[in-house]
Amino acid sequence: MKGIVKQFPGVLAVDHVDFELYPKEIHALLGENGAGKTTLMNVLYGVYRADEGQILINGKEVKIRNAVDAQSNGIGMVHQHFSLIPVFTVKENLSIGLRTGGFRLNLNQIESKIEEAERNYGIEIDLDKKVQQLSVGEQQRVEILKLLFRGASTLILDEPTSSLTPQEVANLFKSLRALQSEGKTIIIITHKLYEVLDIADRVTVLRKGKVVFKSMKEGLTSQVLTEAMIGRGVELSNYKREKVSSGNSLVVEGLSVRGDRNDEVVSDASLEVRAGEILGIAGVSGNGQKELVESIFGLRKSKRGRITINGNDITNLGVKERIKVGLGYIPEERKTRGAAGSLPLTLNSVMHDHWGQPYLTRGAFNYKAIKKFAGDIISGFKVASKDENVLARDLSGGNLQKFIVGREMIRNSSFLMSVNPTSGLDVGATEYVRNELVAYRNKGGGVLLVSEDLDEVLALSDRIVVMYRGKTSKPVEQKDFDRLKIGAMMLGEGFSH
Amino acid sequence: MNIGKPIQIIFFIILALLISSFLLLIDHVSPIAGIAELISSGFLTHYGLMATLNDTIPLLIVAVAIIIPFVAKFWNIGGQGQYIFGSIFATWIGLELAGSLPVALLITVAIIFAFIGGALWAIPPTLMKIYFGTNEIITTLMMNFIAVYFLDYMTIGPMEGALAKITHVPSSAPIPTPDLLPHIGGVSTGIFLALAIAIIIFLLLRYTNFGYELKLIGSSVDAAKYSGASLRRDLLLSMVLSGGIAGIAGMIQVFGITTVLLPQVFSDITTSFGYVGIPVALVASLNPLITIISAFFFSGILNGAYAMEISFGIPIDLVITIYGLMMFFAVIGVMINLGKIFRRPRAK
Repeated sequence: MKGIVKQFPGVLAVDHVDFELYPKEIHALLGENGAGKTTLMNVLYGVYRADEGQILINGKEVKIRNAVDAQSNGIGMVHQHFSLIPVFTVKENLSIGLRTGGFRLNLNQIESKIEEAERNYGIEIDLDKKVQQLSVGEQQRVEILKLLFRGASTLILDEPTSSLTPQEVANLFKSLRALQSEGKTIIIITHKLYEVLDIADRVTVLRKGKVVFKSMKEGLTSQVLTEAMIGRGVELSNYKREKVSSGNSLVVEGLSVRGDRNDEVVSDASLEVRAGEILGIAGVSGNGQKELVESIFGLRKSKRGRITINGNDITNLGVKERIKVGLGYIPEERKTRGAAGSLPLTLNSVMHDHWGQPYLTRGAFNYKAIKKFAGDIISGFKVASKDENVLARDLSGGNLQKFIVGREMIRNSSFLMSVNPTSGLDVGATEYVRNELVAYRNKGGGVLLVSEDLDEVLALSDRIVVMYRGKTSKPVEQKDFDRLKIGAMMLGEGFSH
Repeated sequence: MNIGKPIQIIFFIILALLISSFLLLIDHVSPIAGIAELISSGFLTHYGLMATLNDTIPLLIVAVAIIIPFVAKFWNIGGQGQYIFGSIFATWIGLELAGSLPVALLITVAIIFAFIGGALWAIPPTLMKIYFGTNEIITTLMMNFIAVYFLDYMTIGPMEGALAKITHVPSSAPIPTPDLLPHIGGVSTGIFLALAIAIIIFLLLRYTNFGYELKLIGSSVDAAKYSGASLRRDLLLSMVLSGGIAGIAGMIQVFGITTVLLPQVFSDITTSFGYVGIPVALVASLNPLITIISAFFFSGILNGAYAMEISFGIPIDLVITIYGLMMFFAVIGVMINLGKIFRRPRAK
């Protein structure tokens, strides 16, 4: 790709970028959110057309006007936002676009092929599950499998590993290397520096739409890459912790919860979040973490078990009552659950305070007080927003997350649940959110942190509970934190089957 | 984005007028004279303005009624049926109690009965949605069909008036109290009730917790649940209010304009208040105050169109076609964003 320029209204997303890809290499494309790496790849995949510049394959200029053009040139891409059909099963989704057997769709024949591919790449998915019943992580695995299955010669993977366990990442990388040795070329977009160092042969770093760094992997360190990416060195996982304890706790005892398919997805789970600690829940997505959190917040009925906050039984309370008792929740789904996308920040600021003073005075909304509250969140949590009337959906992911984090923290809840708080955020926003979680802990709040990013759980938690197939492990104390050991627990080690 | 909306609507209405001009030309009517007649008879002459204001009353009330569940993206298409049941209940109680109650009290009782009638007709589809997940668009629409024919039956059956028995034109007996809703300058005093309802619903949606929760539900059901809103209670209440208020529109029409209950079988979808309320509410972006303008505007267009029929001998079907065009284009003007189409790169 030569001299690629892509202009969006008000933003020069890609600014005269030269990008070279050599056959049979694994090429990492690094950059913060908004650096233009996904846009650049979308140009290559035909989603966008470049305003300037050309794409050359083997020295010959090609025109890629849409994804079909890209595919006929052997280019395939897995986007961060999946293109799976929710009401179709995994099998049906994988069958889309496969032209075997003429007009008739022979699912059985395809099934055996899929199973073969699954074995080869070490990815395990229930083929008859509907995609909408899969967790985000599982859906991503289907996407990766779909691409591998279709066998494009150049694969573009946008943040492909963000929801895999270390072992699964290792497996995926093994598969990628296997593909590479078969002559395929792979572009990987990732935030995780050590993965770049692990898998890539060559790295291109983008910052603000421009290429700032290009190198073969040899001799690179994560410090060099981090500096190239954000222009300054960032200290990762160095959080000041203070000992605080008030004896208060959020306790879950023997909780069982049914999932969307009415099967028991949380079974006999128990855990205790103490005031002044971060309890991390590690686990591959789809092992009941989502349902556990929803059940604690009152969004999902529990079948058995007890939930208490500071000794108050909240098991049978509604969401509103739980919030009043002092529970906060930062959901993973920012634009559809944590915020109402089509409403302004003012109305979003009072999502958990709209039933009382000072925002509801004698039955009527006090817009002045609401606006002030929204303004306090915006200024207190460094939300980049023009004013309080901006619609939630018009904020970037990082800024909306800061807003939600701010809202949940400012209202003096004593316990906070946070699910994948930094997924999709750039390095700066990630650090900000993590620091806020630790600061909340240091002020005596208790945090239940659920994350698919094991490094995040390890970096932030005081203790870790692993979830596997709906069951919880005994808590692991900080002194016993061990990446590989916890990774093994995430895959079922130590759990009775 | 919103600043451009009024301009966009005007742009599309002009487009509708251009297409209408073409249709008028085909019918050998001068478009300029035709449109001049449309506007003057709809909005400018005394008689036209009076008729338009009287039509605005039920249209405004029904449109505002529909807005309440629409804010939560609960699509109540059943305004027509709720309007009819309100009118049946109100007429029935009016005939029962006329003469035995002072007029003010009679009207109050009739309003309450109209509300109950409309609300009752709105509740079954809502409960079916809440407990079985049925699509409310289908169920509320089906309820309309039942209501229309039930009203037809009532006016040739149990509620048939003495005059109807002779003339064989179905209708109920007139409510025997004069000046139920007196007219001022030819305009029913129901207009004050209509304006009051629009203002009250505007305040309800903007300032109450209930209105806030409806907005949350409309934006994202998950976000509403997360905020602690009670979805079942909110939806049921929104539909009780919606049906009840649509029912009041039916009552005001009988008490203020027709004085008898008339069947609706022959009135079609394009001119019944219950259905027209939907585009009127949409054109106003679901804002009850703006709905006052849109209800007035479309009432005027319909009356002006009728005047064109009389003045130029244009077939009624062409007249209603022009009315339909105006509404179609006005709704388009609200729903699409011209700026976006012209500025945004063609990509997903």
